[in-house]
Amino acid sequence: MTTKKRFLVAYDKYAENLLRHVYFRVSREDLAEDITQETFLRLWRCVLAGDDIKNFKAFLYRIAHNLIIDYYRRHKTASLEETVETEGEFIVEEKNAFEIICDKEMAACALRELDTETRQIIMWRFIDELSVTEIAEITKKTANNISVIIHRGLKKMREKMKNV
Amino acid sequence: MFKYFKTIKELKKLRKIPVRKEFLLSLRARFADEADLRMLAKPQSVFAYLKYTATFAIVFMFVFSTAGVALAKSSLPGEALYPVKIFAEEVQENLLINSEAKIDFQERRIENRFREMSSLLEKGKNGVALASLEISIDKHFTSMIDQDFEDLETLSFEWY
Repeated sequence: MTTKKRFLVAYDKYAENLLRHVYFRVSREDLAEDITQETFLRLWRCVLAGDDIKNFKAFLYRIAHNLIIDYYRRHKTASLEETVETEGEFIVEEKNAFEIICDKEMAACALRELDTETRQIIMWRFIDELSVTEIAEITKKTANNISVIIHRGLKKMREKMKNV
Repeated sequence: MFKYFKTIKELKKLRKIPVRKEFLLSLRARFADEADLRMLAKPQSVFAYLKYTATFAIVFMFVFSTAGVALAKSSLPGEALYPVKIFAEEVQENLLINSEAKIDFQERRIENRFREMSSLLEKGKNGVALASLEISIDKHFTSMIDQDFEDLETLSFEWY
């Protein structure tokens, strides 16, 4: 398969879900589009440079994740209390879009109540269909750790949804 | 996981939240164009045409025959004989020793490319062939300027 074809196949497969994922995390359509464009541009450069990318999906979500973190860091929308440091990595409280769609989707309300890290992992697992191993690769955590976070997150969500 | 079945089902519904399809389509088109241009911009040696074995065999025979080169003279980008024309030009250029002759030759090559461009436009050909010509013109122009600078440097060196 040519470089162009490989890239476009990946684009067709993941662009829509990636754009939606970014939108959920930044809650602004224009910004989500900019981040998605930059994500694919970086993938394009890597493909051109002949980098050996084994998993395009995990690679794309990792770039998008880093770009979202960069955006929040640059704009410093979060106060110090909203910024948590875990295992050397800063987790910034994100302005997610679930507030906007909460009245239409029950899951959105429950997701909104979760902490940023759990929400991201639950989204990757069940909306973007990334495997536990892929999420572990993105977050640089162990697969066991991810499974525990998913389990706790789902439990919390189920309770919230019961109360709705 | 079974006890969370309903929660997961509700989560999956979020995949139906619409995104702007026009943006995705236009971004895809931009990447496809960029990929095409990059492929054109890659310097292609004559041996790049080796993959088209059958065509190569015919082209190879023509390259070494005067008739082939003469026939190729009027060819346009995208036509089978065009690589022969370019190859013949490259050979001619490499045979030139005098720098003035080299500059004149580059000028002629630029004129040829412009002539080809207008012929393509007359035939209503697409933008890909035109883009390749633009790249060639740019290349010839750069080598002409380089040659000029080289001469100037040699002259000033001799002067001092």
